[in-house]
Amino acid sequence: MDDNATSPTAVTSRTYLVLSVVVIAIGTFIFDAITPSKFVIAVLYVGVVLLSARFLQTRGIVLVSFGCMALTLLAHFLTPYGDYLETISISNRVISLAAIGVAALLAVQSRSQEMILREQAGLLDLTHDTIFVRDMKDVITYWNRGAEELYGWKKAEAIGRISHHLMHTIFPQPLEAIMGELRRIGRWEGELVHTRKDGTQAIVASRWSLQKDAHDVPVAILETNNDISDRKRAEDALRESERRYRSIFRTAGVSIWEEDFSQIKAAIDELRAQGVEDFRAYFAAHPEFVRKSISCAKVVDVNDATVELFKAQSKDELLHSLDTVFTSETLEAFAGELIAVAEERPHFSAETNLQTLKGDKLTVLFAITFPPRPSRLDRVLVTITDITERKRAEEALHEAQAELAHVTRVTTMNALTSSIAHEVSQPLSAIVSNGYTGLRWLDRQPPNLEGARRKFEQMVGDGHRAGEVIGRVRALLKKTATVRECVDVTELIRDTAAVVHNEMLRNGILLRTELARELPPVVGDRVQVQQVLLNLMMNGIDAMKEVTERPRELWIRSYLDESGAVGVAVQDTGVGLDPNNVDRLFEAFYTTKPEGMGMGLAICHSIIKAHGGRLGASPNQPCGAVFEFSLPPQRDETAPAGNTRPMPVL
Amino acid sequence: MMIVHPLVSVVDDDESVRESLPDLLREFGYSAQVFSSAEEFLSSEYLDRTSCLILDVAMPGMTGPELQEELTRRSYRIPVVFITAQGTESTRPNMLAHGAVECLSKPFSDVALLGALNLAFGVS
Repeated sequence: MDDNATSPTAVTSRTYLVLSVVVIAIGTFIFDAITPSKFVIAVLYVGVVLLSARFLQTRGIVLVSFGCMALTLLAHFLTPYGDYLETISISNRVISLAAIGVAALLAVQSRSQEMILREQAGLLDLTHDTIFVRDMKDVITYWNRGAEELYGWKKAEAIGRISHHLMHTIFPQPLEAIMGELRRIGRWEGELVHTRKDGTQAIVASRWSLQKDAHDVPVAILETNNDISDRKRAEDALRESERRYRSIFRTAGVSIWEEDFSQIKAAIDELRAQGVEDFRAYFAAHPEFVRKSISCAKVVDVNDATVELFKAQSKDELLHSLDTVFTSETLEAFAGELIAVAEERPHFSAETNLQTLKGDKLTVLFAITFPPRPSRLDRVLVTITDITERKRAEEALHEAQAELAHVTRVTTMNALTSSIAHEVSQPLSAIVSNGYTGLRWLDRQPPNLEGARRKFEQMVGDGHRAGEVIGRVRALLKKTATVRECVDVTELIRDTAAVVHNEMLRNGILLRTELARELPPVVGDRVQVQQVLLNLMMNGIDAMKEVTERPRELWIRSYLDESGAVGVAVQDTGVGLDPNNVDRLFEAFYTTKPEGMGMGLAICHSIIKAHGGRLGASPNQPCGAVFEFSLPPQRDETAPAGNTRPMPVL
Repeated sequence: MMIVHPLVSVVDDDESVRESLPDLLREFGYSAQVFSSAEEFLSSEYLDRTSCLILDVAMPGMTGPELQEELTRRSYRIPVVFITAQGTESTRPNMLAHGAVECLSKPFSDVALLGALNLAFGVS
């Protein structure tokens, strides 16, 4: 054969092949035609057919063989018979034709088998898997495109190399053990670490299959590898993340519960399928659903802080049911949780009460975070912050404030009254003394008219002095009066309600508020206005202390009246007002309380009046009283507070 | 002929009281002197001649009870009738316990004053 047939490019080798086929065919024909017919020269056409099978498809091979047959027949008529019988010549031609035919048949057959093999090898190149074949000495004999891509070596670089040396294979167990298993059962699977051409490592899931020949002798190993480096890394990261999460979960200082809400979600989904839309209303109407749901919330895990907070011996005691830590007050918050589940809110938080396993009551802030939808809610995190102490401190603070407000009220009142009493008692004392002296002088025989007259004059002077005392008190109040600032009445009501909160609790009084939205601010002295509100609320509370036969309710309402003034009404269900004395309510020293001084409402009245407002009282239906005050809104918002006219006092 | 009337001294920072009381005291048959402060009384020539002291409790400077103490310290045994404009329930028993003859809340009646003076002078 032509040496050039092995030249690097397929096109050139194909050209030489075609050329040599043509040369052989022509040569054979000439030789056949000039040679006496006793030689079977035409058999050489077999070579032409077989060579042409190297580059032609089935149809080409058939055509070439027909051509050869035609040339054989043509040579028959050109060749002289010589000394031989024509029969011998003919039989030689027939043998040649048969040989060409058989050669063509075999060539076609082998050609199609080769095509199948080539197709199969091409398929192996198409797969993403890394496939290579090595013989029993681990020399690589096949290397697919996947292997080229994964490891970086081309087919030509890999074939002929010892696979384990090339890739520095790290085995999970000794190679002998692997080979033993492979020989025994014909296959092996495991994870290998290979080093690529660029020096980086790849973790692969490897499958080995043993190929045996017809005599059951192992001849080769087919190794299929999958790169699982990324998966491994992701798995490691996931494991690390899970470990970190567990560690945070376990050691966090706040109580965390991992709960399974899948049963609850399923129950709610079923309700929705039945047509329930307003879950808030549904849960309110079906408390038994809420109660039943408590046992459907499975506690999967709790952390150390939870065990400590709920005074459990171990976390197992808490993994059963939420019932053990729920109180009757928890139900409302739990219903809120269910609504959050139904409305598919991402989180929910509320303040509620729970109890420890020892039965101590806890005030807690709990927050629940739901996983992103869609989710079966089989892993829901609930964090619980113990605010019992904070709550207690808050209550104590409010109590102290209320106490202080009360004490301040009483001491201010005491100081004021005793100073007025002192100042007024002096001239009164003089008037009385002068009166007695004057009377005695008039009773004399003869009466000392001159002396009595002097006494009357002194009494008039002392009377005026008492009047001056009142004037001085007025002036004093005027001096201390009135910071002018913007007062948010809604905020003021909330603050004041907080101050008397515990006083109301102590007396079993329910506070109800009905506050208008977006009230304009009023201008005045916040402390004074608060004193008025505090006074009215305390009066309301005092009025209901003895009430037992009806609910004790204190209503605070705020509103905007038709003149644009902000009104506040304090309404109680207490003993009510004496209709004959409603007019005298706001007079100083008028009181119906055994220990009252009768100054509270009088001072309230003067404060409200000083603010340009009105204070009134009326009976509440069917019982109790309503005290209402209104304050004008800020009139000119551009005028600075200091430039407004002074407020009238008292 | 000189009739000697026992001297009743009035110590009170309030002018109207100083103006009104002496006439009533004289009507009861005593002679009277007024002083606007404890210090003024202590430094006056009438200290030795005073038979009874009508003393305001609360005064600027030395108070009534302080004056009473000072007199005891100087070994004066002058009966004291306290008068006060801001007495509380405990004031009177307190004053009586400290040796006062009587303690009257302003305003007081002529009868009450006379009763106190009678006590002071031991008239039954």
